Amino acid sequence: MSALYRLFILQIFKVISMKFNDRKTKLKGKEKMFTRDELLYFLPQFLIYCTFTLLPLVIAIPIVFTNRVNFIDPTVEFIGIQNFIDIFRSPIIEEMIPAVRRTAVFTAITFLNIFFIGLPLALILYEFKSRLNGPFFTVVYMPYVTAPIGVGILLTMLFSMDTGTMNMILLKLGIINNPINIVDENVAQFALPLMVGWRNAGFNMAILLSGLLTIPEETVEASRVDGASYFNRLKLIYIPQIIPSIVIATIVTLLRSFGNFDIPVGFGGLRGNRSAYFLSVMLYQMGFGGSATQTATLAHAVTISLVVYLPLVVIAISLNKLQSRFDY
Amino acid sequence: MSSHPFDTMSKSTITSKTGFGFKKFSLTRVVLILFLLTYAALTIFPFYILFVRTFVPTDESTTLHLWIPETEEFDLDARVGNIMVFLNMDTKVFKKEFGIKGYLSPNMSFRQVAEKYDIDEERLKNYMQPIMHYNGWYTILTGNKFVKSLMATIITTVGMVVIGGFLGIATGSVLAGFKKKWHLTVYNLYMLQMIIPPVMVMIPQFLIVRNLGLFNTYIGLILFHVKGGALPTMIFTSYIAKVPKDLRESVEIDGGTFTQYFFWILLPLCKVPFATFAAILSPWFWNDLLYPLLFLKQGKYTLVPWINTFIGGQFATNYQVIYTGLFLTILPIVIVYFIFQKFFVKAALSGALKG
Repeated sequence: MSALYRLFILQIFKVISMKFNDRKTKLKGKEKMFTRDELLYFLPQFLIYCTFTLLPLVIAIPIVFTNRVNFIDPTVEFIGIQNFIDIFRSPIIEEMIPAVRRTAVFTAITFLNIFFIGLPLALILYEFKSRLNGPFFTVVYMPYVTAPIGVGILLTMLFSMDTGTMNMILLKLGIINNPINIVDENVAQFALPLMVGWRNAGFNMAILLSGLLTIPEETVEASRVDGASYFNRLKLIYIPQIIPSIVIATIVTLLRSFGNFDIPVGFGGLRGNRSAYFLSVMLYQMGFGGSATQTATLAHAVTISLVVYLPLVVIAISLNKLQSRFDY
Repeated sequence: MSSHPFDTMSKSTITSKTGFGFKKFSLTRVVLILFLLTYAALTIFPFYILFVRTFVPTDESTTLHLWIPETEEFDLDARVGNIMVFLNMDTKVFKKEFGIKGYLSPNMSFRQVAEKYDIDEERLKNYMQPIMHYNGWYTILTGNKFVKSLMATIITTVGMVVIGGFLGIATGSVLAGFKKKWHLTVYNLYMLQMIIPPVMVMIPQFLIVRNLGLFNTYIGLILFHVKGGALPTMIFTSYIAKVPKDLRESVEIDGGTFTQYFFWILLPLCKVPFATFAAILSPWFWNDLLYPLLFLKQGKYTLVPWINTFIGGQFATNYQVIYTGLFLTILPIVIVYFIFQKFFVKAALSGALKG
């Protein structure tokens, strides 16, 4: 019985598909059919992408003009541009300014890491041919595949006042007399981005090295034959040729550092470590923290994120334009 | 090893004069080799210390240990309650092990417990010693959360890489070559993802995920991560654009469908970009903190947000547990990295990162 039934269904499917195919070929032709199938392959990811990346930007805009307190707020009212005024007033501004300052200092030092850690390493690997290069690259790139949340934990492990291993080593060697206090804001301000530089060294090195490797060999050879000094070569050939790589590294560093969440959280940002209270942590606390002493609403958080990050996005787009102009 | 990207690089230039113009054994060369070795050691150092610290009991953490310390005698005069709290032990497990029924006073010392319940002191010592010494490993591995989080991380990461790779190839197969005007528009829309910081849109994203009923499901997290973006689109589009057009045209002429072209010709060709995609994105997915934290509840956390609950939470003062948890989170991805290092290095140097 069931076999017969299956056969019947199969027949029906066959007839339908034959008809369907017929009509397609008759009406639109082979070329069009190919295009229509293409659409079918392209749409799934594009729809997901629109829902999760583009739609949030759209629905953020109405929230900005309301007084929405949290996610389950039943009484949401339209309050005009009040939020934009509020975020520049006490008490929000007093939280926002230090958070923005910390994030900005962090971003600036992370940016300098490209030139002080990534560039020398890339240049050495490019100029210096030895069997060590492969293993060295593998080792230096390794921290980049580990969790960013580990950076803060490792930093605490190495430089905590009483239990920091590195502190104890330095004390024993007599290099320092008092242990470094990593929770102190003045120290953490520089130590955290330097530790991030340790993690990102491989990434920066890879980006710059892949830029260096695209320089035509003849150019370098010609300068060598003409007896150009190394620093002249660096100034006149290498740096100008890797500007696209540097711009990309800058964009990535700018956006990832300014919006970084994992690293301050690993350093205790969500647990009251003031020196890790970055902009991202502040926004998270405002949106999801649910603490009783909250001074800002969810609408404030969305407003701040738009006000602070939109200029960054614009800068990144213009840098990208600049890069495509440099790309020869 | 012959296909290691560095070998081809050095072979082509080995005959030409080296950059600084120094001979095989010059001072500069020695200095550079020493520098490279020092920097490599500096890179490894924090991981090595992390490994050692997983074996250093928290009460010994104020002394310097550069290697796994010797086991210390367990002090039987310590109070039960203190030790239980300090080592994050479950009293029920302890009572079951020694057949203790009823209330166990936390004020007693272990010696008194042995006397009262007629337990051999040696046995008690032998039971407590490893728990004390390897407390980090003991707490993590006997707790049920670790295996659960590990499985969740593996499932979501593999799901994201496989589904994301498939969808990325599908997108790339359509956009490759920019045959129509809207192809370029869509490509630029995907590029936008690179410059929107996740923190900027996390609140509206959470609203969308919750309204779609995807909150606290792994499907939601996977869907969220396979949404595509600048990097996969860039990798697949640029690679598929290099696939000869003749292949596609021959399928068209022979009356094949796009599906046949896609599955029989394109997919087998896309191993190389898929390896690049997986090498760059799987660590991101594995190490992701923000989205699991937003979209999952505590019981369903993946490894990294699970580690986050340690900081300032239940194990705030038990450093050994935090370090062991972090070590076990890092270990799987580092092992994968060393096994597939060739792909990782190739991906890093392919210029895919720089677009």
